[in-house]
Amino acid sequence: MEQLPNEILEKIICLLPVKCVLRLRCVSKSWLAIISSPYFVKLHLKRSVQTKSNLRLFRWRYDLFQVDFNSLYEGNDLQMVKVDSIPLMFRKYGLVPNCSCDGLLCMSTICVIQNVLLCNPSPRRYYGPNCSVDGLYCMPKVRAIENVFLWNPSTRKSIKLPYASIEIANQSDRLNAYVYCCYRIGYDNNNDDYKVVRIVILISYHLDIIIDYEIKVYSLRSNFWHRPEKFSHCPNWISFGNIIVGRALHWISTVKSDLKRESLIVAFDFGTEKYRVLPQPEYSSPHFDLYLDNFGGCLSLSCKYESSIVDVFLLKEYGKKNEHWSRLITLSPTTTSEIYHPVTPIAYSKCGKKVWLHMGRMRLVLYNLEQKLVEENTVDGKRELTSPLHTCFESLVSIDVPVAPMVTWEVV
Amino acid sequence: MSSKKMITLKSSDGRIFEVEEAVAQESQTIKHMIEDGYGNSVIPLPNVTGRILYKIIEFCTKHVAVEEDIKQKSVEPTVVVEDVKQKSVEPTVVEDVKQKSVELPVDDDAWDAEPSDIDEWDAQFIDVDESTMFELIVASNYLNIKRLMDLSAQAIADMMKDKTVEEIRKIFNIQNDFTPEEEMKIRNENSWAYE
Repeated sequence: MEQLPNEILEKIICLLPVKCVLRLRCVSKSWLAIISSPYFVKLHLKRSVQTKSNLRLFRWRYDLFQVDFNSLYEGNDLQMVKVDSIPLMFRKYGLVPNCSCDGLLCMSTICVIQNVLLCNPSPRRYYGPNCSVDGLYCMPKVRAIENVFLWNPSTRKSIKLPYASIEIANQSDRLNAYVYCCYRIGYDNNNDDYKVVRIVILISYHLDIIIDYEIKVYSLRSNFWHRPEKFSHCPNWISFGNIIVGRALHWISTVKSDLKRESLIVAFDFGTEKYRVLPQPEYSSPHFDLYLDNFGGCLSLSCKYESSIVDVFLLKEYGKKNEHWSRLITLSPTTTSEIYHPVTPIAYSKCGKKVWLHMGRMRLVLYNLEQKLVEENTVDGKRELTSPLHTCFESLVSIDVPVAPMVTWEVV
Repeated sequence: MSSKKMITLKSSDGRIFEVEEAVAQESQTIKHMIEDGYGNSVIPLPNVTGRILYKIIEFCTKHVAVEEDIKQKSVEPTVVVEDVKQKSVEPTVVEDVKQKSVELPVDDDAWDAEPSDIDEWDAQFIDVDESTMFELIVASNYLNIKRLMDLSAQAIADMMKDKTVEEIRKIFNIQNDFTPEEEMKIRNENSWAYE
């Protein structure tokens, strides 16, 4: 029997789960070459995304579970499967998934808001390695920046990101404040690179005023952190979601002036590292609470009005001329018993007529788009998920870095 | 029924097949040849044996027929269904449509859902031995028939999932050109995957 040509082999192997593909690496030299090629990794990822053979991960207690929404038929319980490939050291450091992109998860500590006492470093006294140069606050040990890893749960490879100090300009000699830190990972299309954005926000002691913020970007290709241009208005740390759509990171910035308080939807492009302010939908009434999320590649905006009604909008035709918001659902307290904001759509049901909604990071419900009401649902007997869901596709994306100052860890 | 244009195909082993143009055009390769003006003479397919070409024609004929049925059924379904719902009269219109379509379910959900009978038919079609599957995928790649390519690729992938490396080499007729040390090194890089 003749051998199959490579172009056909690629089409077949890219349909297989990662575990299977990794086994096939030792079949022959040409198979190894096919599987290792960057083209094939992208092809496999594309198939993974298209066929939605993905893991929805969430943390419950101290473990990671995966939930496969696409194997669910209405009326059945969601199957939760424990992810046992998590490296032991992640547990030791108390690391949890922060965000994900193309099958890579960014892991950092659970505690993301920390009380700190900041001071101006005197030129004569030595404050240790965390001390920054003149004009910047001296930061004590901030837990969230200590152990940050990139992990691919499908290939089971991980790498520790180099340490990057926090550099925020000081405004007073001593400051009792809170430091909020979060990470978002995205793909830089221009350079075929994965980037991790770190946002550190300095908040006043009463958690009401944002003093300042810092943004830094890590590039996997260079294995290095750098500071991009900074947007003039600070991200709103309370509603900072995991929103990467169209190769850009999104957040909401609150601009306070004497007369009013305005919210801006800001997009930070991973490739160009530039900012764009997005237009907002037509709101039914003025007062609102906004929350952004990603629903199947679309930016979703959950908006809570003063009347406690919640609207969820989706942004269609992202980046194109006819970019516009379209209302997906409306939840009213008169028709739905418990509404927890933010309301984030997670997935469509198999028939496409219903949507899974995650409410207030606590409750998972099924919303019927035609009848416009919420149906009851249980998750493995529990109705609450106590932490955010992360979408993590199966992928072969590698996290090898050119210079290796850090050790690559592997689960044995 | 109006007479349809027939296309003549010739396999590598000299067998002649006459097929309707719509069926032949399931293959993008043949479609381009027809567009380039070769539709009136015999189209030679030197890369496809008669046995495989026969099966491919069977596949394309079936899918063209299913699409015809869906098209006929979906010509006025929204109007018909809504009329029936609102007025509750003229059930005969629905009956007519029912008779035209062959195997499709009649409930409301059918308007949106893919008929699952064709998936079953596809599954039976591709339930063949490995060497036939390989011939089908090579031929459908050459003839550029996406649906058959996807079906056979998935079938082969499903077959591969639980096989060991040695079994894979045998099925795909591959020579192991690694030294034992090289192979061991590669296995150790992902030892967990071999459990």
